[in-house]
Amino acid sequence: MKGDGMAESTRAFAEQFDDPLQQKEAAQAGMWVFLVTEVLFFGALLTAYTVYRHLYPAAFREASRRTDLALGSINTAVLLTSSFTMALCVHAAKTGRRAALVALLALTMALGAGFLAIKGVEWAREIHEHLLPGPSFEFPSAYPGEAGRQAQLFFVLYFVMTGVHALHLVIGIVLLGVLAFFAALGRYRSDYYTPVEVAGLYWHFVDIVWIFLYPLLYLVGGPR
Amino acid sequence: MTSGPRLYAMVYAALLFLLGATFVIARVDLGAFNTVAALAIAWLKMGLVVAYFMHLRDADRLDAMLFASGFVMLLFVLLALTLGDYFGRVWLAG
Repeated sequence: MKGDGMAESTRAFAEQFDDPLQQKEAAQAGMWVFLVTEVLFFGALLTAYTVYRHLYPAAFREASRRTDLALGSINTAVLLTSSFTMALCVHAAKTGRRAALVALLALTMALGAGFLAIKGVEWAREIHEHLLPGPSFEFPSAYPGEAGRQAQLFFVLYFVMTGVHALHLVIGIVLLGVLAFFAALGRYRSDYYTPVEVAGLYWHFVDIVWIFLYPLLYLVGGPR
Repeated sequence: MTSGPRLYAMVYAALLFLLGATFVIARVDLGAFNTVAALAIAWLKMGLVVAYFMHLRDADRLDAMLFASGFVMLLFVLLALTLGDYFGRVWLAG
């Protein structure tokens, strides 16, 4: 391949790869490897949650009833919608429709920002109600004794899990912003849109994390 | 119809239906089955997102294997071994 000057100057892929397809597959596999580490990252939190919910079922049920079920459910719908528009982004990139791609990326970012705004309203309300773990934590409980401390543990997990998830979403929104910028410049074509596809994998993963957080944090309280 | 807006719209509709279902089921007191149902629906939603939005159905076997490895590590190494410890302590104490 070395002596082939034409191929060198027009190649659309890095020199360590045999062909564009191999480069694309490597990029996808790389994102999947990263997502596996992310599964374990969130998995540690899910394990902690499972252990403490097993130990303190009553306190977790009662604490979960203090979360905002209506806003949490709306937010789940918002994030599922953003996954739908993200899938449409990849399709627009694949079919080479530049304007549609930029518009759909902006729409996906807006849905992500909407999710964060609703989450912020929830957090503000919970902090106002003294549910943020710490010296100001107050939990009037029907159960005497340790129930307050146990409920505080639920809210430690709640704030850490939703906080870390929100951080992932912020990163996703920035990522899509960069993609939208380059998409507007016309960098992606129907034969090269790997960044859009790989960012899509990340975005869907962040959606999946929420798919599990929603029942675990909002629905364990049972009928309210 | 391997992928495309029509299929995505159907998957999206299914996801919203499952969200509604999990919301309604949570309002009925089924005891321990509430958690089972909520988690079963969450797994189902994840399956739809992974298979259709993340195209794992059409991806090559390496990606499918990586995805599977993540869940083997999560479920069997992280969850099963940790919970085996915590849940097992009750039997030892008894």
